[in-house]
Amino acid sequence: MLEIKNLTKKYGNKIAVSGLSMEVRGGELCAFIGHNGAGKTTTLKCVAGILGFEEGEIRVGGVSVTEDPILTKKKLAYIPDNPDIYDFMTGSQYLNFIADIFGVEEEVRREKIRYYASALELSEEEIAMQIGSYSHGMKQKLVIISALLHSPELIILDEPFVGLDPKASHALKDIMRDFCRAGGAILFSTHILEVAERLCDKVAIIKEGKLVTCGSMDEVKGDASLEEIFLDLEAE
Amino acid sequence: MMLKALFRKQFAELTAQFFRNRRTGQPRTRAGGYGFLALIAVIFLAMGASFYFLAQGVFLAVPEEMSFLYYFVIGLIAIAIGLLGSVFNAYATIYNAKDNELLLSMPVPPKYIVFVRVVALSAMSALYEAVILVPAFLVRVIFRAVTPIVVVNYILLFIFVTLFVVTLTLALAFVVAAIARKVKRKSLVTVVTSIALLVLYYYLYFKAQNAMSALMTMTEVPKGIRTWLFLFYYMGLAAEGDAGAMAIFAGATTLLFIVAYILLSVFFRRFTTARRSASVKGKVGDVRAARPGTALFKREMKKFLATPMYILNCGLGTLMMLLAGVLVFVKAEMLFAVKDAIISVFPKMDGGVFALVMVLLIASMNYLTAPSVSLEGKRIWVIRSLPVSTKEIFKAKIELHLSLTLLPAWFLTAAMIYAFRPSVLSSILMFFAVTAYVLLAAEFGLTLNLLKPFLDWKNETVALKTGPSVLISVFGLFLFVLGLGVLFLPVSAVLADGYYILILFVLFVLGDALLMRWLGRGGVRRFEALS
Repeated sequence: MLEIKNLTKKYGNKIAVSGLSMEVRGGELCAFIGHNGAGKTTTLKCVAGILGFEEGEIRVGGVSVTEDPILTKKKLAYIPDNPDIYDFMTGSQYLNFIADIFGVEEEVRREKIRYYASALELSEEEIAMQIGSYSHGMKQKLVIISALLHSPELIILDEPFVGLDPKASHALKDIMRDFCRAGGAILFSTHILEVAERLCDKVAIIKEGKLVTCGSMDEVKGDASLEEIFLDLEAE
Repeated sequence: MMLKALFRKQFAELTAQFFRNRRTGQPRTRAGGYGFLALIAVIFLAMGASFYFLAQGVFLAVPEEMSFLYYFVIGLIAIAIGLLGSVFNAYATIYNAKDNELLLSMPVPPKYIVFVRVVALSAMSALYEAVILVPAFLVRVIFRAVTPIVVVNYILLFIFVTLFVVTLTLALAFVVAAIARKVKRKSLVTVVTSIALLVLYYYLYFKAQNAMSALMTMTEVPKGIRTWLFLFYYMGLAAEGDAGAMAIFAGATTLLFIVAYILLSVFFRRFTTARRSASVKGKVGDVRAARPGTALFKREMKKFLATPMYILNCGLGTLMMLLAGVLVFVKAEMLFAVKDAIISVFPKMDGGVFALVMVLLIASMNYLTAPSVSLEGKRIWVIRSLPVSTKEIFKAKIELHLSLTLLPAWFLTAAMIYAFRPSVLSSILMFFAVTAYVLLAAEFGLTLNLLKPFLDWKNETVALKTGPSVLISVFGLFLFVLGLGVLFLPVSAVLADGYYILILFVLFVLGDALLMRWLGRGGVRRFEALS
């Protein structure tokens, strides 16, 4: 579903990501971990088509991000670490805007909004409110709902659990599992290693812009905990 | 100790305005900071000089036996200027300060927080007052003998006029905060209030001259001034050395100030911690699908309608064109006279170019695309992660400009044609030229903003007011149109209005095509490099 080959991204002279290659197949839930500034967000933004890159290739569902960015964006959903969204809209207006862009049928969007809003405990009244009055967690929930409206094949999440209450956090994990069970692929960055260990079947560790390791959770950690492996790799 | 720390923080906040770049938030260099301070000082000195001449005019016009009138007039001007300078600051400084919640979480009594902020506000207010009251006193010193009593009274007058301005400002800030807590359509209220204030300002400006003339010719004090404006009457008397009047003016001002301060302290916590009223619109079930292009346009329109500063800074041309159109239709005979005057100097003109230039100048007041890229701010990830082409995003931004500018521009064009009666050729071509120009202005603003975008703002006002794209768009287009009009003056002897308008139309269409080409290539590249 997602193929990254030799990705290199620079900010001026600074190399943020260097020669990164990895793959996430349909049905896989892959955690992307690394310390602050390691290049996680940059990689995820390149995959989402937000950032351009100097070298390498990214394919989503076999389509190149650089050759057909519109088609790849139709296949994926991106949830950023900071849900900065349009505070001049109501939640409902925002969801309809996203659904319009993806061409989601009225009945389908209505049904999906109800389903995911109920799962994440965002009430109808809250969705009808101005986004400017939302808390961080409410914005995060709204962005998650909007990302699921068009039934993407790949979901890219950057620190998705930050700001969510425990119940919503639990619901999001269920949504992520169900999504992968149905054949979708997920790549998400996190600093909460316990969540990554319990939730994911695949893990990729990035350090100073380079991929240190990538494989199934069992392959990478063996009998140790993910935290131990991560700290060992960081210390090298 | 606590107050000292609060004052130190407030002082740091004040000085940061000079030593920090408002746009980027980055500290200026030492030279840059002092240079900025020097610039402010020059502006204040220039303002002071102009007020000196105003004060001199008033002083010489007032008969000596009515000398209180001088202070009465100067005092009222000082209060008006001080109020204009501080009123917008007061609400932001007291209720909307970013550190309100932080300070309230500390063991600091709210009355201390209010006190420190009021002192800061008073310092700023005193600065505005000084620009008028110091030159006014200089006039008094130069033209009439001054006793120590007059000097002391004038210093007291300065202090209490400042206190009076601060009191009024606090009262207005209190009202604004109370309204802001309740009102749901805050943007609409802000726009309507701002336009009403603007209209009131111009109304008073035009009436002020008559009122001043009436005041200057007075031989005795009218009853209205003694009753309705008694406080200012005593202010005038006090400045001339009447101790009783000074006691009344100072006492009344201090009392009003104390009441305002107590009110502020009592309601401070309630107003600053009130959650913004959340407007609930429709239900989740209210779903109406739209095409992606329409959705993008609706996004731009919602942004515009929800941002009062966007409307007031970049969209006032729409209202102006409609108002001007109505005015031209109603007062067409005034423009007949203008046309006659033009033809008497330039006999070959038919008024078409003049009318067109007027329309284009007013249409230039709309520059909706100039801040439109910067306004995406940190939320740009939303649009960049969606499956829409950058050209579609540009199209929506340009459509917003066209939808709010074209119709009123055509209306004003029709009104101008009705008033100026140019030739049929000129009249028809005027509509084409206006249409091509409005598109050119939209593309020009967008191009400038793509060349100089600024996404890292914390307050939208910064993106709307300070960006180079906005400034160049406003003044550049204005000067461009004016230049085209001036150029026609010598050309009119050999070229009829209709042909000149045709040339302008072709010029605008060429400009449209060139900018469109750049937007489709370089513009797209630049937008896609933003994140």
